[in-house]
Amino acid sequence: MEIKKSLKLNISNIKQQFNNSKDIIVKEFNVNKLKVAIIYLKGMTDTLMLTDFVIKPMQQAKKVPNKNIIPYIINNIITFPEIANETNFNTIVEEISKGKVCLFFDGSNQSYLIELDKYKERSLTEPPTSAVLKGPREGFNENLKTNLSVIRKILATDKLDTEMITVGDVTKTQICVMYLKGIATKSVVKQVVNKIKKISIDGIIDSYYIAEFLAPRKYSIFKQIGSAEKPDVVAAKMLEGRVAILVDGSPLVLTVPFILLEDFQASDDYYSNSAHASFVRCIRIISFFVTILLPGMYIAIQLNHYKALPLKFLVTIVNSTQGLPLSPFAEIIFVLILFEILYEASLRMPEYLGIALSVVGALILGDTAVKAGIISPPAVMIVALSGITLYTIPDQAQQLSLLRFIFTMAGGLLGFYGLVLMAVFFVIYLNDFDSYGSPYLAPISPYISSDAKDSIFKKPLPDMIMRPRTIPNVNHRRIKK
Amino acid sequence: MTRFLKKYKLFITIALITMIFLPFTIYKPAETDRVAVVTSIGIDKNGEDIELSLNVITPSSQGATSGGSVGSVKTFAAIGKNLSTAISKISLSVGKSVGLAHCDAVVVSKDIVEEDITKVLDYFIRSNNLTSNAIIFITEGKAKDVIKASAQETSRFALTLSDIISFNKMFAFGESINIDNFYINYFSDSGVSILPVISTGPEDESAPDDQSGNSGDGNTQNASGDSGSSQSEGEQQGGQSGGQSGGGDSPEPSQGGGGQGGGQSQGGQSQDVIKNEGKIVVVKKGKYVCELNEKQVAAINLINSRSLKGNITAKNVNSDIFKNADITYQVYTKKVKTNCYFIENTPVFNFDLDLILQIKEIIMEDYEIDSINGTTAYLNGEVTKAIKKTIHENLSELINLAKKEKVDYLKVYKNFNKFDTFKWEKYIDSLDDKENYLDNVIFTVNIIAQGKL
Amino acid sequence: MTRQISDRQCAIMLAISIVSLKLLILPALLSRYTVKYSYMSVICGLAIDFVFMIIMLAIMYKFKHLTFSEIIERSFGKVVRYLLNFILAVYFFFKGILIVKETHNYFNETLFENISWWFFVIPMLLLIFFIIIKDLKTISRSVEFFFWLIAAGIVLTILVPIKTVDFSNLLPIFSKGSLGIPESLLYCNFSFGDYFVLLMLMGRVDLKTKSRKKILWYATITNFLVVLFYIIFVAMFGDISVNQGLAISDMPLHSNITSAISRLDWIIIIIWSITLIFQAGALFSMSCACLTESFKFKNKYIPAVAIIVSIFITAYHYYLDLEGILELIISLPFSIITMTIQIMYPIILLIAGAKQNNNRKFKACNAVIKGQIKIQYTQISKPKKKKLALNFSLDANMAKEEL
Repeated sequence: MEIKKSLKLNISNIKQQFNNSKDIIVKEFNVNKLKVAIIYLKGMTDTLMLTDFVIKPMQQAKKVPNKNIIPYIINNIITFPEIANETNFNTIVEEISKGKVCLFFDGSNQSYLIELDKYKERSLTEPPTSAVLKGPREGFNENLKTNLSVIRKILATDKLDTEMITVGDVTKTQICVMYLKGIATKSVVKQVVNKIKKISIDGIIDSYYIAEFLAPRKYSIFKQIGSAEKPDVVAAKMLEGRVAILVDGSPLVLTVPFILLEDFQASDDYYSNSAHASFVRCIRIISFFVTILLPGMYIAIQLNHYKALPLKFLVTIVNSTQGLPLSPFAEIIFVLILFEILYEASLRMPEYLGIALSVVGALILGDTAVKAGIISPPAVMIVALSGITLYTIPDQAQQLSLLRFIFTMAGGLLGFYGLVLMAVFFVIYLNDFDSYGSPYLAPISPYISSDAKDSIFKKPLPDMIMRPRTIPNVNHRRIKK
Repeated sequence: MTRFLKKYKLFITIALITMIFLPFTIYKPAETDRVAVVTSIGIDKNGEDIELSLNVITPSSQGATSGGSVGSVKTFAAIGKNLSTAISKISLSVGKSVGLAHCDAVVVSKDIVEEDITKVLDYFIRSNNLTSNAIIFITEGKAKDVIKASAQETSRFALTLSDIISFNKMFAFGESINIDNFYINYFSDSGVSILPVISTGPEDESAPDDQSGNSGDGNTQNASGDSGSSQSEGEQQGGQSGGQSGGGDSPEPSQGGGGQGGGQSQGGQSQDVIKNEGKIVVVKKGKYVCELNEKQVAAINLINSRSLKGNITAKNVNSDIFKNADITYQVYTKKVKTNCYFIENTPVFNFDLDLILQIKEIIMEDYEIDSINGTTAYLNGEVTKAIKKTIHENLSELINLAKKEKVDYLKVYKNFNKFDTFKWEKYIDSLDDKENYLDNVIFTVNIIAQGKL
Repeated sequence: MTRQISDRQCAIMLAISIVSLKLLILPALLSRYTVKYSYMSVICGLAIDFVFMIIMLAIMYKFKHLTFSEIIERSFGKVVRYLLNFILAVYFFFKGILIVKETHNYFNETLFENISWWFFVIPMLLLIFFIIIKDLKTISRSVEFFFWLIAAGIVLTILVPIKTVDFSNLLPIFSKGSLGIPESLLYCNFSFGDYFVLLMLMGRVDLKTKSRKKILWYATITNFLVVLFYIIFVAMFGDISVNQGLAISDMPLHSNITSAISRLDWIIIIIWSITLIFQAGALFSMSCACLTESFKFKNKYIPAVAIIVSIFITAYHYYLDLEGILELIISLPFSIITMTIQIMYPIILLIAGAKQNNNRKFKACNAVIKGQIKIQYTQISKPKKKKLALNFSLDANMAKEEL
């Protein structure tokens, strides 16, 4: 459809597009005998600013020339700076539905869009899974513009480049690909942009929709696209050469390329002493192995390798598992599933029921079931410990939860042999895929000595002269001589 | 179809493996339900056959709630032509296969050692079940009594075999004779091993009352009671299966003392406990040769660089401070060096002992104030002479026994062969009786003794 | 040919290859001939291997961008290339089979009371298939990932008993058993010849000036650790070394320290299992690569399936019978064949190298011009064959190595 010269026609077309919805507000008035209509969606526009900077100046304008009145109005009367010309009817409809104000003039087939969109948004609070003791606590919210502004505040440079792409036939979601020119590699940016442009879907609700399209291996259980909920984290990643993808409506910003070690590094590590940071990273890595291997090892020892335990341990476990109705394998799987149910329930249950149900859950599992002789204390302890260590790396919680099951099955089926085979299998599998040019397990394998300064152990910042070689980047030097 | 398979190949593979192996695993009981965990083994002679006794861990459901490693140990016994037969019989009576992975002691009765200990140890050297760290003990009485005594937990002051092993490793002769080491010695040129001796005896009357054990450790009471009953069960079953297999072995009558319930321990009747008196026997090519007396044991501990502590008593010391005093010194540190050399084709085996001694006890009449003073009770003149004399005496006894019995527990052959192979071989070839090489060896000892305040 | 792996990865694969077949069954096997001088056999064997390794490295440096097959083809023709590749495939296959059987025996003796053959073989074969179809880059990265763990395991095995071992048990240095050293090297040579790994890595390693030094250092340190292992093994077990069929787990078990803190050997068992599985996978992968070269398969799947089926049949034939395989491997005909192969290949490569030096038709030109590395090969062999020109340039600013 085209924009007509007749104001009435334009108004009726717009109303028709929105099915004559009462949300569409049309304000008609005259400016020196020229009919003007302002169209916007109720609740999505800053009406105060609209009145102060657009309507009032236009209505109170004096000495309006008779010729070239429209440009005069746009340039001299309307004091709001963000105003753009638009001739495409579909774009106008899209923009109105996003909260912009559209200005029609009678006798002109051009319209003007004013960026006065304003809707209720969440404040920039600290994300629950990225809490820090010291350091910035600002997080992202669901508004793309706000998120962009927050990043621009940190990366105050002209080298910060953005590419805006609209994806989603219905949702028309704005996606912003951000990178630092001169640091990020062009090929990675190009790959990301091309992949996003190829997405043909009805709607994008969250950034994870985009992540699934960007992932090199769709069916892999492993995370392949990085994510962050805090602008300082995103900025730091971009400074290493990564590309950030912001999605309107999602507080989670995606980053590529992604390496596994990223999730073992918290922003905390960079805001505190390096020795402590190294120590805590080691704890995280140990937790990682405890999470995935502990239930599997326990069941492997029980079913096949009693020799591995010292005598006193063995006697404790033998005494504890005496007379249980379930086989050890069934017991551990049962407890694992029970914990997953508890986790899901605690996530979904209303807050006011939370405490009561937590107590009931803990009592049922921790006390009653054990006393009743349905499950054994070691099984509960093992799974509980594994569950606690799961959340030392919250970004990998989903993957670790699955891996825990897989390794438990392997341990139960084939004992330590199964665990070894599974470990070897996963290492080979992970080494086989690269995320946008970065080896997944770098800098451990392949070992990149220069990146070891910020891998498992962290050296002080003055020692990190070069950017990591793991991430493709152009300008390698970070700290000048 | 092929597209589907290609797309989900990994998932299908994992699903297939799970489906194949899951039925085998989901109903599989714990390994400890299928294997009897053995903590110690006793081997006795029973006529032409051998009697095997095992301490087996039996789970206690009370342990589940009370926590800790509270559990009962039951003794099972069986008679068989050889070890393999006896173990099979015990498996039948326990209802599980025997697992020797946690066994840390093998007790062999002396009568087997007098014949040949290797006849019973052969099973263990070939077994991948038993860890080679199981220590060998000899007992003068019945190994079964030692095993039973080790199983009892009525008194927390009673020794267990694990305690003795730990103690011996650090404080006794320092040479742990596990099965591997025994065979290393067996196949060496001398073929000599020294093995510790333990025994059983009644618990001392002065031992603390069992009240705390009775009230708190209910399990242990049941254990002792149960072990009594199950002993007889095990024996009967062993006997029965022996009868069935045509062996016709009569089961040993169950010990009257242990056969009743826990009333035995509650009633205050003494239970046999393990006693470690530090005795040592010498075994050559698997056969018993002799037993070392107290002085010889002291000497052998002294010259073994790995054994710690130990006391030396100098008797009838007379000096300015001491009058007919018996002074006991503890070996604080020691350095032992052995040198082997030839003097005109005669082998000389020399010990260099560098000792630092700390005074521990003085027994004499009419103490003087100076004798209590640590600085004046320092190692000097007369005392040093007396200590050296004691060490000389002990070592002489040890060496004389070695020469008499032709047992080379001092590792003379090994040391000479290592450091002076050519001359030693020449020396051996020159002997009429090649077994008697110790006779012409001259033993010397240099002692440096210093005191520690 | 794209350079797939780094020099460090090459060195690690060589190091793993050196240790994999030497620390489990070989000590007992050598003791059959040498009694307690197995460490001397190992020293001699490793020294010979080291010499061959230097030759291989020299060839690798000479023909940085040519694989073994290409070198052979250019020097001796296609038929020789196919034949040599086939022999190599069989050689690696048998080495892999030995490792599979060793692993089965190892698990049977240490981890399990009694593991069913099917339980062992099926998952193992699936994993080996998975390894075979992956490329060299993935395998080398995976080996690099586990390298520190494996090295720690070996060092732990050596350090744990070192305090309790009496090294004077090694004396006297030369006694009756020492005469068995040449015999042991003859019959047990199959466990040596680790430099063959370099044959498969030729032309695929990113070799720099210092790479040779790095690879030799890794090899030297690994050899030293192996020799130290044998010395401790002999000092510990002496005359009963022949009875210790699983040296790497028997050693910590025998030590007093592990008995005090219980089964530390289990950590070593698990680490060693990883080493064996990787080495088996790597060997079969090399075998698959050689088969692909021999028969010109289009993809890896056909030779991979062929290898898996062959492993299955061979392993089933020697079901639970490690002795059967060992008897085959230490038999005289087999030993002579493997020894011939181990000597023949480096000599062939030396001849190929000498031949190409004198060959006017073959020129290699390296030019380094101001940060740009230009490598140009032109081969004008026979009129019927096409001219092959390979221009390769690297922009120093956009250096992006494939790791």
